[in-house]
Amino acid sequence: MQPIIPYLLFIVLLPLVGIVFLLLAKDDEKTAGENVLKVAALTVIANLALIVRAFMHISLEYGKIQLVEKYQWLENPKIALVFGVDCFALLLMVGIHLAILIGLWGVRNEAEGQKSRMIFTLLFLSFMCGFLTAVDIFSFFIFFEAMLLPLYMMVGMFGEVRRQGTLFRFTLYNLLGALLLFVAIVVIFNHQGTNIFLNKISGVKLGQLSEFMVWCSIFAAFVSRIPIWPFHYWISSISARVKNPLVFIIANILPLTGVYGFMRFWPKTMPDVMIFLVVILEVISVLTMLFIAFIAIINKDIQYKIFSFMTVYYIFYLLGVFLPTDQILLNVGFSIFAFLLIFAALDVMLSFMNRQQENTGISTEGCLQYMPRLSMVFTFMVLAGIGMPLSSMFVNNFVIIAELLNYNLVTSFVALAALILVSTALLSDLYRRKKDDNLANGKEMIKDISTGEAAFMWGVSVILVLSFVNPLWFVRG
Amino acid sequence: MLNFMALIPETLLSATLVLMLLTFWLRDKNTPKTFYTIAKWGVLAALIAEVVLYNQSLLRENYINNSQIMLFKVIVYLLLLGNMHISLKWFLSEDKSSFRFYFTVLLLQLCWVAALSAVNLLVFVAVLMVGLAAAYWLLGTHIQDDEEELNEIRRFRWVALLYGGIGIIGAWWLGALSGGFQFADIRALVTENPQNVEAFAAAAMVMVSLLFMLGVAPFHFWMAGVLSAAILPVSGYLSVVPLFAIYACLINLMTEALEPMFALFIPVLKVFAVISILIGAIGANNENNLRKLFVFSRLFVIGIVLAVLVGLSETAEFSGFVFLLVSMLAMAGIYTVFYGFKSKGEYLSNMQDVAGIAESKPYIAAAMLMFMTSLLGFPPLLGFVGMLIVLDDLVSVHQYGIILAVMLGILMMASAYLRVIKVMYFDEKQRSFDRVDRGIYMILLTDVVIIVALLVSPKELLGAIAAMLRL
Repeated sequence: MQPIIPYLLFIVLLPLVGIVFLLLAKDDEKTAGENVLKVAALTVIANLALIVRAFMHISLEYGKIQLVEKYQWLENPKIALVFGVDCFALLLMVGIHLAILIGLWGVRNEAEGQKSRMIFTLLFLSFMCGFLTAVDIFSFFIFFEAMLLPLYMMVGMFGEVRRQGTLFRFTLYNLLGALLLFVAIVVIFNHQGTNIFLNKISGVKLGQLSEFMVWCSIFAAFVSRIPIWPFHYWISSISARVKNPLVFIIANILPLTGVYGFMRFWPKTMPDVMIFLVVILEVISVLTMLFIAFIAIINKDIQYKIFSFMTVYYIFYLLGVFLPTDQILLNVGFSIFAFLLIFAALDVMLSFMNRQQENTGISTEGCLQYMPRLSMVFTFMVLAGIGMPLSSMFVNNFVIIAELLNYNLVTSFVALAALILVSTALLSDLYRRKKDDNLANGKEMIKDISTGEAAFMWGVSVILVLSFVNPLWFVRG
Repeated sequence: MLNFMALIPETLLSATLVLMLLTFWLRDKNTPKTFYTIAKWGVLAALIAEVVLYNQSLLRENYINNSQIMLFKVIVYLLLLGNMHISLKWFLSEDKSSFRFYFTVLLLQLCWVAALSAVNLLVFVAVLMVGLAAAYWLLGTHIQDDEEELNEIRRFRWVALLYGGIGIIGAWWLGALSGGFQFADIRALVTENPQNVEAFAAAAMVMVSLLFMLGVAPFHFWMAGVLSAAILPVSGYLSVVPLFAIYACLINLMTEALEPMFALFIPVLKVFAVISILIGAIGANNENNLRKLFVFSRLFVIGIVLAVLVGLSETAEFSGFVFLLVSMLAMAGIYTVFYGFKSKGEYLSNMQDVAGIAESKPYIAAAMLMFMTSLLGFPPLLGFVGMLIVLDDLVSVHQYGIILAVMLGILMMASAYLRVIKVMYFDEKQRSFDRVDRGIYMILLTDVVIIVALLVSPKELLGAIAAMLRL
């Protein structure tokens, strides 16, 4: 039964309402950013509650678009924006909200520029919700492109990215992708004479050349969001270098939009003109996975390792999306949910460790010995991240790998090798941080996370464990 | 039969001009506000008369009014009112006489109104030439003694004389060929023989004159220098208000008089459109002067509008209009923001001068960010609606070459705007900024509210526009 409340519209608009409150909130030296942080956190929590409530109204299967809301937007050309969700989209929304909450927690002590940071975070969140609830090609595009601006602002203002030129190229590269998608959807719209749903797009029959061009544009648009060779450098040089945990989390949610785009657009029965594109993508995907995993092993920077871990997993999910079956897509969703929480938690803890290192001048080796609380949670997250039976990544990754093996042996072996390599990279860093190495000086100044902070992190861990038991544990029935 | 009622708006504007002159000569204690107040009431009265008498025409063969013309006139009036209001801040802040500015913009308004209604080529060209002369006079308002700036304005005088002269000769030639100056006479001539070389040459001369006034490439070379040399109110006015009026004049001339031979103009107009887009985008990237940067931005917008017009789709006029409207709303906002870029009493126009302004003037910087984003056609702001309509139009007539140029232009413009954003938001603050007048915040807020309201529900406004354009 259709609920009376337009949940999806509220979910998209609530962060914008939060921005209005943020603008009105007092932010001076006395409040030190605490006020605005509270407003932002409350907004995210309220939206999360709405999303969980919306979950109660839908049936839990992939691809069945529910809670459909339609808004006539333009008359000439006639365009109605349609919102709707399935279990997969809502699950991603929950994951993203939780990841951003973890990010907010990570920047709770940063007073400078807190208001702007919170405004752009909520703006990004609103666009992300719009993107995930979009059912038609225009609303999908609107939010797909719109999220670039808050991202650019956040990385530029708070990311502490030293090379601004790279940020420029990163943004323009993403914008190019968005423009290609824009042209493609306008061509489709013009051909059909009406705005169409994303799941109907594969049924559109254009001329051979037009079809080829349109699909190439769509392909390029989504690839531009994922750090895949040969353009991985621009993305990696931004996503891996961002210092602020909240900005890091947001910057690294972006590739998810590429994966999700492929998931929604890509036809299961491929037009002939497209087959070679899939082959190309598969080849460069696995090569990129392997390449990035090797760099993760070599590179000493843990942030790069986390970025590599994320990239390898995003490509792994992409390979799952390209399989000619819908059966495992919900498994991909369950795995992404845990993945988002794990990487967010890892980066926030990492930022805490970095701060300690900056304050005390200690080295990385053995530093976790002096932070027992942090050490436990960090270890838990790393183990969950590499696929131990601690979160929904465990079972669902197995399912995806099994399906990959079923369809393409070579691809799946290379992907598995990359996953093992990147896991090794994370484990080796964990070992380095935990090994018994007496710190020469500064250890007396090292602070562990407080009990409250540890409780927060264990709360995240509990959510992960619950997702292992039942990925949709928070849904009635 | 002569219907003099149709001339009430023009009479009101003329009466206001006379009143301003008398006030200037006879009253001693004039302040910048004096002339603004007179001009404001005169323009408001003329605007109301224009709306009420929208279907009244003086002589159907020479001077007409209809809903389409009224639509253009109303927009020109509203943009003028907005510009006059914001310009007052400059005159009050600088404590300089506003007579020349308000008098000239009112005179220009009279010219635009007359040119929009004229369906007689002689009247049409004559009022536009008066407009050109008035624009030259306007440019000299409170110009500093800077030799370089004076040279820019002087150069404009000769260039304007040249292109104005070309327009007059073209109009005279076209009239001589068709045996009359009414648009209907000219239409009859070109319908009879659309390949008439003489008529084509004469029409091309008139067109060149109009394209010069619009600032389309390659006739744009005067614009960046002149508009950055002029004082801020003049620069703001000339960047936004006349564009609509001259665009409407071009459409009138094309549809009422030269339509049968329009196909002959298309190849060359296409080239002009593409080079306008590209020069606009490249020029913006090479500029560190904000005012010049947005002059190139304006060129980019004109290029897109022209590209849509020459696409010849059924809805080309509508699409061009909507795109121009949303772009000019954003451009008007940007010029309003320029009033907030002030340090130690000096209005700043160099990009580096506004480094780190977001730190102390967050709302000014945020408004600039919004307007630039809208100007780029970036969702979810209003500019996206314009860009969507334009792209849909171009796709419908398979103008993929132009689409490629537009996309390339957007990317380059984005690069220019990202540079501005970087300076405002990411760079360190170099100087202190003056307190911004509350009135400027109010105008910015109004502009933002309009943009947001139209974005949320554009269908009513676009429906009304389509109806007025008789689609």
